[in-house]
Amino acid sequence: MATPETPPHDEHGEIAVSSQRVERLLEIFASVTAGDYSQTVEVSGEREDDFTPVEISTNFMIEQLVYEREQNEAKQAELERSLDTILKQRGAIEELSTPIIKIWDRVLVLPLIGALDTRRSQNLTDALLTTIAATQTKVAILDITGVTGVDSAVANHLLKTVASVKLLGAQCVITGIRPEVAQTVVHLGVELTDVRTLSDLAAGLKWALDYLSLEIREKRAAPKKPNGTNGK
Amino acid sequence: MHPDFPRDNPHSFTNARFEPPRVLCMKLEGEMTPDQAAEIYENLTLYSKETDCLELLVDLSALKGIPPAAREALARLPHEVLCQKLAAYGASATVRVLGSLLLKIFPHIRKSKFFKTEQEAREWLSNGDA
Repeated sequence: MATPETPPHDEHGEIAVSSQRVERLLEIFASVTAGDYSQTVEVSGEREDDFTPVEISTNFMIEQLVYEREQNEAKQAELERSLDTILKQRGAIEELSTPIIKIWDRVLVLPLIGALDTRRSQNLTDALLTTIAATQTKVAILDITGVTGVDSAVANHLLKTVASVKLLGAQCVITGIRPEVAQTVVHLGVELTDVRTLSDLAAGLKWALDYLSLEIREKRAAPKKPNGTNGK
Repeated sequence: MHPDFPRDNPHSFTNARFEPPRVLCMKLEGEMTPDQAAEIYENLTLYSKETDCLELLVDLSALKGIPPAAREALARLPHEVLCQKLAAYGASATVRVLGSLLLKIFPHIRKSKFFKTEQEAREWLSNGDA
């Protein structure tokens, strides 16, 4: 980079540099090593020599480090925003995936669909117990027709849910256990003898009405009057 | 003349102008952007098809700098030799150093040199393989 105006190399191709300039570079390198990119080399346009490119290049390197740090911070912020969105969406999905339906006075139904993991089971129990307490429910029907997989942790959690519901003075019925789920539960050695299980939701509802001493009867047609009207 | 690039293109970023038989003149102004970097490459690619011995004459007197984003854009360009000689003039010390550094990783140009004036730059270009 030597120009006609700058000092040439000596005969050995070496240049003379003041220790002050070298010290200044070392200070800046030390700062960069510690993550401080705020310092740069002051380059005078009037005194340009063969060491000047080293000083200018140092400034370019620091500039690149600052740029990359800013890029990383921007990406980090974007990732955090995406994560926040995912968490919110997960919350919404969980809310939608643990619906609690009041199908009759004092009768709740929880139709569960999809995979049932520990987190979802816990959310289910929390929501169910809160609703039972708030609505004086007497029967809660857990319909797991749509549940695809249950492991031992989840099976045990369901047992605890049933026990918790009983402590609140309500009955808990599990309906719709699929054959593969039944096999899994038996294989896992989980005891369901204290749990009332029925084939499907309709059977569960019938049991609930029986428990509440309710029955459904077909409407009878009103008797006809002698003049052909229906008593109106 | 290549139909995609007119001889005089005053609206382009690089003010590219071709001087037959082989010199492509450019003037770079302000701070280079990734779009300008892409245009420089496009210029080289198009005009390298006009001649086997494309030479560049680049006025850097108005170039303020090449920020990291533009440097990255230059570094990402396909590596192929497109130009035999580059003569740049009018650059500040900072731009000269940066240009020298970038030319080490920008193998599209076989030989390059910086000059103070346009006349010196043109003389070097016309001196064959000097």
